[in-house]
Amino acid sequence: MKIAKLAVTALAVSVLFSACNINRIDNTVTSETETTVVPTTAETTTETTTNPPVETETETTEKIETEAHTDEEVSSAETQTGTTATDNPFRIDTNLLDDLRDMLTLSRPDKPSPDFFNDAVFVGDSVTLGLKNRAVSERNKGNEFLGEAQFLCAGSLNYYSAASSLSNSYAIHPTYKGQKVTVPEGIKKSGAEKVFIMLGMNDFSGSATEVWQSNINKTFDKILELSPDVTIYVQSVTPIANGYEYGKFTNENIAVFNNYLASVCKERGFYYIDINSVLADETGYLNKSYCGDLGSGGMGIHMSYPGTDAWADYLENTFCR
Amino acid sequence: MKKIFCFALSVLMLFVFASCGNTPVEESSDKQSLPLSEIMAKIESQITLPAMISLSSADLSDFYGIEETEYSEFCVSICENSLQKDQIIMFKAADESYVDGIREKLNTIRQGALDETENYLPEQFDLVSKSEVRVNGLYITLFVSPDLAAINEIFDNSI
Repeated sequence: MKIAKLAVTALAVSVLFSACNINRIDNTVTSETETTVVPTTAETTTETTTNPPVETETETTEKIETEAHTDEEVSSAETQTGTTATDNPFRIDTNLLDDLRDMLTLSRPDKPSPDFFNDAVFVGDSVTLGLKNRAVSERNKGNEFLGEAQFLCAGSLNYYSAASSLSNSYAIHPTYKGQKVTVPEGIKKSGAEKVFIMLGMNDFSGSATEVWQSNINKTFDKILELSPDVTIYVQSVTPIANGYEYGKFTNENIAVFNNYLASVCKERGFYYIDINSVLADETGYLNKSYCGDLGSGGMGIHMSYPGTDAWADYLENTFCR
Repeated sequence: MKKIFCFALSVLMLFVFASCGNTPVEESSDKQSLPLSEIMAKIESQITLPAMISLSSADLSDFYGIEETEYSEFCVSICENSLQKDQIIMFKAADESYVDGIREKLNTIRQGALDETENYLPEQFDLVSKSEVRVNGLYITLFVSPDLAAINEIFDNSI
């Protein structure tokens, strides 16, 4: 009798486990009512993915080739970014960058002005969270740091999530004044007139090219739908430190991503700020003195305080000069 | 006789008034509680914390949506490293009517940390999972730390 009871209990437990085995892999089903292109779960996880998607033919043909540069281009690049155009193999198309730099030059004030950032909001992932934490720390000591700029950040945030609604349970959303909001809603609620956006680190290595390209444009569409008068400054995705690349998570693919971002900026009239070059060393990897997560368990992408300071210094004193 | 009676009545009235004055006043439990800043100092002296940043009341409004009118005391520190979710968050609500609101907002913060870390920082996800928003009278706390039990004990013994 006891054996029979034991057997029945074991059977009930095994049935219970089967029923509770929730499979979250398939999120490409049409339960997502938006038209946002939805990557699979394998694509949304970046830093921990063990099965990166197979590189498509499209992606292999998009690799950026280093171009021969004129002395003028090299000199211009050195002045603006502190790196040389010929040394960094991960730079985007130099001609495109120069065009965008000219646009940016015309938009900025004549002198350094921390007030420039008082009506700004910085949108980003965990990399920008580092900038936010630095701002909090410095401002609470009474020091100036990017004026009164607000921050709308979340670790793992990407263009996919930024283009998604709150009902999408696979998307990450930031909070604004304690409330979870979408990126476009958060920008609107913040009342900011300038949007500095840096996303992509959690897009390019986990999604197919056409997926992240679509999500980039959808994000900008939705931001402008709610806040049509904002000025958008797209910051390039920052580099990975040497020794921390793996799979598709490479500086070469960051260059492809940044090149696309730059082309969107040119086409849609957004400003493009090449933060990637500001923080890269002469070989195009993240300058290790700017990296705060080196060593065991580190990802080689998040900034140390010198890194966030170099970033903010560029924005306040070079971009705003 | 009348004089004796009046005198006795006066003495009796004296005793009555004296006993009213001697009614022991119940001490508020808050009188025994340490200020949150001192509790934070105790935590910092007894627990090895990573480098932390203290938040201001302006930060609490911007990040958590918790306004100054809702609390009479606060002490909030978060980890300086954006990849670590260690947090020491303590509020004393201005009155009972604000307790639920603060608790709800801290639960939103906690859930946000879970969402952020679930897919790419499993150790931090585990850390946040073990945390909880606790309410004790007017005090609302959220501690996220590998030394959660010790921090809870320090706090519980301080209020």
